[in-house]
Amino acid sequence: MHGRRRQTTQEPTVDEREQNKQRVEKYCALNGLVMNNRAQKVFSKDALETTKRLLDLNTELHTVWNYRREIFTHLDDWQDEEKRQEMLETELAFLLEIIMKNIKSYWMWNHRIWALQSLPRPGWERELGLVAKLLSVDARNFHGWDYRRFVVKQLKKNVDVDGQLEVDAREFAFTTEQINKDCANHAAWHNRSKLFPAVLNMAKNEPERQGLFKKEFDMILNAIYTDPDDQNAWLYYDWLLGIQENGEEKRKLLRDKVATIRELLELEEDSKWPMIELVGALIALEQQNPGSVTSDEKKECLDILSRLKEVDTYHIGRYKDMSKTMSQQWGGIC
Amino acid sequence: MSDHLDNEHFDTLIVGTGATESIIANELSAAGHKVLHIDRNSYYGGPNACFSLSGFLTWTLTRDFRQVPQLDLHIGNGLFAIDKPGPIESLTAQLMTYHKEGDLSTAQETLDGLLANDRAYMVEPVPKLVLCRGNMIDLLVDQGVGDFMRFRGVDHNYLVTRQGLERVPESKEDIFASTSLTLVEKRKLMRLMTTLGANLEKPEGSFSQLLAQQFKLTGKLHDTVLYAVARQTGYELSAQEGCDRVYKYVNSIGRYGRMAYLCAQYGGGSEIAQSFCRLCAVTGGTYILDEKLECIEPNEDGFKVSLRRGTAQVSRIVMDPGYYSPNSAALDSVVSRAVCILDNPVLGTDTTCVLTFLDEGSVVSLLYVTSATMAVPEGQALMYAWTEGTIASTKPLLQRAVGVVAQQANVVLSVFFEVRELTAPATDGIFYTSQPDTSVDFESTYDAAQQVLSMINKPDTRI
Repeated sequence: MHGRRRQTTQEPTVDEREQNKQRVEKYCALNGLVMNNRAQKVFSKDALETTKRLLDLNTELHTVWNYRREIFTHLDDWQDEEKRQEMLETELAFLLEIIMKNIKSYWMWNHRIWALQSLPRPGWERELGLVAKLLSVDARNFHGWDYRRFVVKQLKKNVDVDGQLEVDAREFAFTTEQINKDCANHAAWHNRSKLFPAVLNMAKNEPERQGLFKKEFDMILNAIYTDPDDQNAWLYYDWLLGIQENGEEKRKLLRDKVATIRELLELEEDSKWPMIELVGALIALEQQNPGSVTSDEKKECLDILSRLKEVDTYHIGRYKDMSKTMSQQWGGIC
Repeated sequence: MSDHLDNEHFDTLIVGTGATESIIANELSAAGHKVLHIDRNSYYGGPNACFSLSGFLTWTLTRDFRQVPQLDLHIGNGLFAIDKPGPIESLTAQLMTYHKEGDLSTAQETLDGLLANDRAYMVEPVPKLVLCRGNMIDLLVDQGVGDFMRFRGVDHNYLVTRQGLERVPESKEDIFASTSLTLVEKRKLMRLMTTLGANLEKPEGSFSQLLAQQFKLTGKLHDTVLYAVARQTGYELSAQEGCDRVYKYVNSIGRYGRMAYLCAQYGGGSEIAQSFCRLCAVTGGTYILDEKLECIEPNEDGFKVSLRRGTAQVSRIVMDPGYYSPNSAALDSVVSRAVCILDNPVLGTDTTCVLTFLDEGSVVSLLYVTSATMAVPEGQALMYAWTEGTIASTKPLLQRAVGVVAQQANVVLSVFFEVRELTAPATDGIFYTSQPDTSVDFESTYDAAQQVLSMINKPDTRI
């Protein structure tokens, strides 16, 4: 999980070694049995039970998950809708138990998706609640966020256009909540960028659209001023500027960005992100409207780049290269 | 075991079961001292004690009048000036005899109504909190006292002015989500929290200057850090002191939750005192309540002390200065306190808050407690307020402070009193502790105990 130290393990004692040896033997025996069954194409309920015991010990055996799915589809009960519903609901409960042992297992998530897609009556709302709980434990787990996007997509399939917009709005509010809890939550910002265009389309007129944009910029500024060194807000800011279609709007927003960063730099003199973003904004302005950036500002960019070489030595090569390119393009301002 | 002391020998006599004295008692007993610990009251806790409502009102009649000469009891619009001791039978009737102005019969009715729920109140004349990271909490955990006590986190810290209340942001989340801080203020506050959270090296000047010059804080933000976080009250904090306090505060946040302070249930001071007395008794300490120290005679082995229940020979004495008889109450060290029952939990029904009221150069510390810490019945709230100065000069200020916070809620009962610091001259073999100060947490109590313990353990101290 993010931000938590790993536990260092200690040398096992003699007793522990003996116990481990026995555990390994049991495991190998079980593994052998399951693989044998599979090779012989055994699709009985007993075989199903043995795979369950094995997967409980080791969730990462994707071959065994595949085999388990095969057994399910070969059982007689599979053909009966009610019985299938029951079987798969039990399967989901089983998965819920073991997913807590290893939240980051691809195979378990895949199996869960398979179970939900095979269910006659899947409970997508319930799944949403489940993911919300998971994200409250580990807010940046991308398995959780990916799964959430998948569930949302399924939910939207079953409703009309209005219903879909409602789902999007709700998801958008969810990202707001997550960002308020931790403005450095990259996954939440990313999800927000996926939802914002849909939210924008819900606006009925231009002032409403402008209002939505303003709220986004306010949120970003909050994040930037709270922690200027965290790149999430800066990336989202760039993305928001990138989706501007109106050239005039974009130019104004870039100028706003420059002013904001200049204010921030008065408080945070040698902070990498504001500095490089200021240079980026001025470059973007010049590209869009050649001649709109003054020669003083161009000099400022080169000054910043040389300061950056000392502040952020890891990327010294990049800054040197940028300085060279800028000097050539903007001609004789050094 | 006889209930009479027959010149029994003890290493140390400790007089008063306040929190400071109780910490000392436990430490000495654990180190091998044979301890005799007495208190003139029938309850533990001394100045840190906690009472039911009737107990608290009884205290107003039986308190040490040298230390607390003036006490005003307000019930509704009735005022009762309890300026001399009185008998404690028929409590309500007795209190009514101090009537000075206002409606007497309504007051009597209100009081009877409140007393119907008597045991649901836990009132402390001197309430204090525990910092989540500090010496006191470490001591409580280390000594296993944590097993005997229950705490709630202090949910909010407010800065209060005549214009109203503003929450003090306590974490990056709070700062991000705050709607009252400007962007620039957010940045400055974050920088301050991260810098002081890591401790500055040898800062100079006053803390207020440091905030203005190095962190460029002005106006409300400056006041928030100086008064609501570093908690400057009477004297001007040095830069080092201020930084240490902010460091402690910032590092307390997150240890047990999103708060910097813990508030004990059933009265922190009382629970701490009782817990340490219990530990001391377990390691052999002898306890006598309702005991009077009648006479102390120095001799070559220490002191012969005469109590109501007999005499004892002790090598040294640790004493709450309130017990020193020919005491003169110092007027330069006076604290005025208010205890107010509100009929409506305005800041939340299950909430605990610490507040600071700033008004024309004066600073009032406040605590807001509810049934969350078992202080009042559900549906009510209890507010404590205190500041330096005599009641004559500060009562309107205290009333204003409570009024701004209470807003629409009514103060059904309030008690205003001033506490004068009692001191005693230095005497060989007698170690005086000090009385609770105006700080909002128990760190000073811990320090006071350690000071006495280090003096006792000095090699040249008479054994």
